[in-house]
Amino acid sequence: MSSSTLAATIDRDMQASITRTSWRFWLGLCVAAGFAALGGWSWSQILQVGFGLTGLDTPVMWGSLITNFVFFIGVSHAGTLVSAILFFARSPIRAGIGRSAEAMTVIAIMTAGLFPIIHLGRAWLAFWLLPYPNERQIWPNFHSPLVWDVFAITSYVTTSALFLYMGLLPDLGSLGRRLGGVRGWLFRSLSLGFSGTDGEWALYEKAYPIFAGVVVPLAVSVHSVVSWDFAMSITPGWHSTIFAPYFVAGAIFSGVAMAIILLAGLRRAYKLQAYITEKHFDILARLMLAMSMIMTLVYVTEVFLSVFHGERAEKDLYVWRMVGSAAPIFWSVIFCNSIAPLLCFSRRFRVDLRFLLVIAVLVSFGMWMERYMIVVTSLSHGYDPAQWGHYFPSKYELAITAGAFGWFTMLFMIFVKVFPSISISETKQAQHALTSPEASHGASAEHSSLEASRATGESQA
Amino acid sequence: MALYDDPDVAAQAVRKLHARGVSDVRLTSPAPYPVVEETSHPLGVRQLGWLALGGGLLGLCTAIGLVSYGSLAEPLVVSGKPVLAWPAFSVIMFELTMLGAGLTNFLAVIFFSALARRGVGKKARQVAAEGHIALLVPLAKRSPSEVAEIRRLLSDAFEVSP
Repeated sequence: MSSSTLAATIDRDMQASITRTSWRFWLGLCVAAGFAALGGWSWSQILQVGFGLTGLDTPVMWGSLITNFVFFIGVSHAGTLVSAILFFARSPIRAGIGRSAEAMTVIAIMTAGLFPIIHLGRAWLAFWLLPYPNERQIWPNFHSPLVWDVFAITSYVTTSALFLYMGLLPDLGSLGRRLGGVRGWLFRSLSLGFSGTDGEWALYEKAYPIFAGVVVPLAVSVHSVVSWDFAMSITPGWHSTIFAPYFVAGAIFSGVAMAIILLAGLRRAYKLQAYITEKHFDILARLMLAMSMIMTLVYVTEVFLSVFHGERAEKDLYVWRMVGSAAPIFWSVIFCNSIAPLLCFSRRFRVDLRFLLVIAVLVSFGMWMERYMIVVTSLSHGYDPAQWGHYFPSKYELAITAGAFGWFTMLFMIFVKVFPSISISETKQAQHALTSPEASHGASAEHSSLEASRATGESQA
Repeated sequence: MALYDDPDVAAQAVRKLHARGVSDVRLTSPAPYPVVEETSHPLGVRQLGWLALGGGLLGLCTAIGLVSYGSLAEPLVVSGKPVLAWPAFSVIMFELTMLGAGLTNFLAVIFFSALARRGVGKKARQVAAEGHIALLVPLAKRSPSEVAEIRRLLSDAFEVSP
């Protein structure tokens, strides 16, 4: 297949993914929107009646809502980070997964950002967290990790959204000129005039690494700051110097698992087997396995230090987590995050999507449970035994949790329907680098071309 | 305007033109193929890094001003910490530095891209959107022999139009 035919095929496939819609898409969207609506209704009940509808009570004043916040911040972590790192590594696999991963980041952080507002109770006063001039000269407490969170998340969501948008500009420009109607007009408007001139490409190629360089430390900082929401307190189970790297590793772990789930769905729904190949999943599965082993090391370190360093309350907490009434949570975390991913040592489990999907779902569940364990069990079992208590999310909190997953899925589905889910210009560039003797300078033959991938993909389809 | 499908053939044509002293070549391309590096180096490319650094420093200064003014406006002692607690403020300073750098980088690209589009016609932009590479060589001030030579150098193109 000539390079022009390949480029035309890429254009045709990507255009088809946004212009053709099957009934399955609408069904999936309706289900996701239904869950989101359920969550919204539950929140409205809490706003109307009050926080008594939740299961929160002394001593557990942070529950499933904060768990969801930490979980979705974690999910947001991996997308931009993986995309930026693959960019720096000049990896050709980035073309297939970078866009979806970046979209996942922005959508996850938009979902996460809802939860501190929901948890405020009086959500309409959320703007009090922002530093704005006011007549009483009262400003937020800049010493507080909760205020750091506001700055970290605002910076991260802005930068990640711009990173995603900047990557979209070339595709919006070319699709806008090809497509007619409202979609063509929308794309042309959003492209800010990008039209593929040599000067624009030169600027784009220079600016993109700068952006990636800004996004990577921001991604690491945002989850470190979230971890300090906990670690800056003296609560047993939270007051630990290991928390920042622990949370960052966990965030990459859960984000990669979520990326596998979303990419598998995307690949199947839009028949993108030629672009999102087994190789992509193989690499993501390897990364998930590596992060799983880091998480296992962290779990072991935490238990080891708490049991042997002599702090009574800390030791009691960890023993209670392992053999007390919180043991089902602890062991489900260990099973899902430390044991199940070990199957990825086998290539069969890495490239067979059915198995990999099951492992990714288990990891996502395990990471949600881990966040729940950190948030809830630490507060349940503090310094004073007279203050110990139990917590279980109420049906309203569970509905909001389901709603959060519905909201996240709904926004992702809308994104991949409205915008090209794979970077068209980058796919063409990567394909040219792999097939052109001049560009690749004799790149190794192991890099299969899109043509070969298409053949594989079609046979798999 | 000469149209190409193969980026390598387009790159060879640009090199031939440069070898003959034709340096004012522009192009439009559907993707950032290596050929784009062989033509224009527009205003702003070298400055982008410095502008991002400047934006970052502006963000840092904004953060220092904000936390200092906000803390001193109502100097409450919290947890025995000093009113101006720089280790605690360093998080906000870092975040706003990176935000400033990112925003400036984005705005600079948008601004300089608008400048970089000047001199490239609508038709050439449409051609890039349709997946072809268009080489643009101005012929207005050239002699007939030079024009003939340029046309010969662009003979690998699948279409050459005035």
